[in-house]
Amino acid sequence: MNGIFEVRWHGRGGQGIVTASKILAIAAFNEGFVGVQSIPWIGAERRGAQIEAYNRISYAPILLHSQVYAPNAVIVVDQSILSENSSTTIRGLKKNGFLVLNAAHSNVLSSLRVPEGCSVYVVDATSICLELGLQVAGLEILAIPMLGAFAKATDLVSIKSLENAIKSFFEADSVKKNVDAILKAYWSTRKVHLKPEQYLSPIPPSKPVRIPEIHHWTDLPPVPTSTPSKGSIGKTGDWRTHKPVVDREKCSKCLFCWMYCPEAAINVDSDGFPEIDYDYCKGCGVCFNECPREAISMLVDEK
Amino acid sequence: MSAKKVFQEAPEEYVLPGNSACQGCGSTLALRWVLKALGKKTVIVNPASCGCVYVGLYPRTAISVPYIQVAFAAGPAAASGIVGGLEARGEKDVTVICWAGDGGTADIGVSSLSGSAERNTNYIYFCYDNEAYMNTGTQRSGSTPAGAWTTTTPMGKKEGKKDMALIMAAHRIPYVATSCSSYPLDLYDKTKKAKIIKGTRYIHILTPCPPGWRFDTELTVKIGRLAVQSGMWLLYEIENGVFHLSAPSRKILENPEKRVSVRDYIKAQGRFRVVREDEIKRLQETIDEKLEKVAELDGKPLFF
Repeated sequence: MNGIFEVRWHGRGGQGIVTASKILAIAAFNEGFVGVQSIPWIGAERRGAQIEAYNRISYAPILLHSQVYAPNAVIVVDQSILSENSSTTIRGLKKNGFLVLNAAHSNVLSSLRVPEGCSVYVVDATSICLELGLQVAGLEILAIPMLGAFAKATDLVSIKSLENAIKSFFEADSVKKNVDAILKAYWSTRKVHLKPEQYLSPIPPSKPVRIPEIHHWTDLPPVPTSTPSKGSIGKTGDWRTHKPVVDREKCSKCLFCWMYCPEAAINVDSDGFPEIDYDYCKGCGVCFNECPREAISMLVDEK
Repeated sequence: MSAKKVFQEAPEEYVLPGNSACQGCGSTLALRWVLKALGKKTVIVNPASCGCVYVGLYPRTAISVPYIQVAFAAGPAAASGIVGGLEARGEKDVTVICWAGDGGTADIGVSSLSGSAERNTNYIYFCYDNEAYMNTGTQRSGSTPAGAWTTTTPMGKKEGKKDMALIMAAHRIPYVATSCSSYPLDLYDKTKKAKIIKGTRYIHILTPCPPGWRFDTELTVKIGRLAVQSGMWLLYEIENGVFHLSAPSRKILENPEKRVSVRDYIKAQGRFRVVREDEIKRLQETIDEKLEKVAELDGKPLFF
């Protein structure tokens, strides 16, 4: 390995990617790397929304302190992020880089386009978390098994140093669960063989944009005003892991679900039954918990 | 009033789905009901808070009434300016509200809030209280209760919670109320009442926050209800200095068997995991004492 090895994590708030990036930095330091960095993505904290975290690993001290723009490895912790927009997710990935994915669907894999020489690794982190009960506040901590997959894919850190990093990071009673998850992921990670046409040819650098000169206030663009619209940040239905389903036989049309929905994603149809807007329902489960007739059930959302 | 009736009365949604609030956000739930009660002719002034996040980024917004974001300490000042402007233009049917978090109310914004209350500016101030600076990842605020974990109080906060509603009542403003996002109909009624009163009105809303308080997103409403049923959070109104308990809080005073022990509320949240058993016991005693005093106060003037 020459120079700085850069890693970018993609996940959703609550899946532990910031914690995992810290653990990776400690593990890399234990491994003998002198320069290590763990950087959280700067922005408002939002559970369920897409977030990023970054790592830099080097044999020499690192003087660069920015976010990572051209990573050597991209780790995608949440499956739905890649299917949403794969080109933004792997933006800037370097030649001969690594792409580590959590159990992506086969149609996502077949439509994937990666830079020349990249290798793609897949592990089923969600099932590992469910199997070992690695959950905090109802969310699977998917980023921990991804550490094992990263170790297998890149061979940069050993399982032993990851284990030591986990020991220094967590309380004694939760160490075993986390180490088990990493081991399990390490042994179940497999390399995916892509077709030759899935490798991109290098993109020529784009020309710099010219900023128009302003001489008078009339040259200024009009005052920016935001217009109200549904889905102001996109279809938030993608945040959901479980989806509420209304059983019309049990429903008494009391509209408690409509009343308590924090998202206003429950409409009322002409018969007076609640109708959930799955485009925007974030799957918090408040309606499921508040329904007095238990007419709403939360089912695993297959997207 | 039941949910069905309100649906017929105010079916319009002003907080649009697909916004960037967290899953199970108590604050959007509260804002949704406040705007249902106030209607379309409302101007919102919002100092820095989670509200600045879920309103959305240019060119789209999730709130379908005018929404102005201002600096942390400037909420009430900006609202005063808007009230003055609307008065000068003769527009009498517009309600100006300030929608601020607990940090923007109890810590950073308290001086301009106090100033506007002293001038009795004609607007409604809403404080949605999620008991820490949640937007930036849970830092302690003046409104964080004792014992709660935040990133800046890793062993639990030592000081108690600042009682903003009583501080505002001491300004002798015409209307002060407390509410909770888990009681949307209570919030709806109080906002409707506040809308027709002239002068500064203050409504303090407890809004549970799943990421910051460390509980499952599906429990948002339940945790808020536990806060009220255990007596940790009281729902009341102070109208022209006269104190009235609201129905949910009166219910636990009149029927002690409906009361929930404070232990249930504390244990349901991860942020209180550092609180010891003897501290819970002491907290229960203080709440019992508080409720006794409150029972005597009900229906009486609060100040001399």
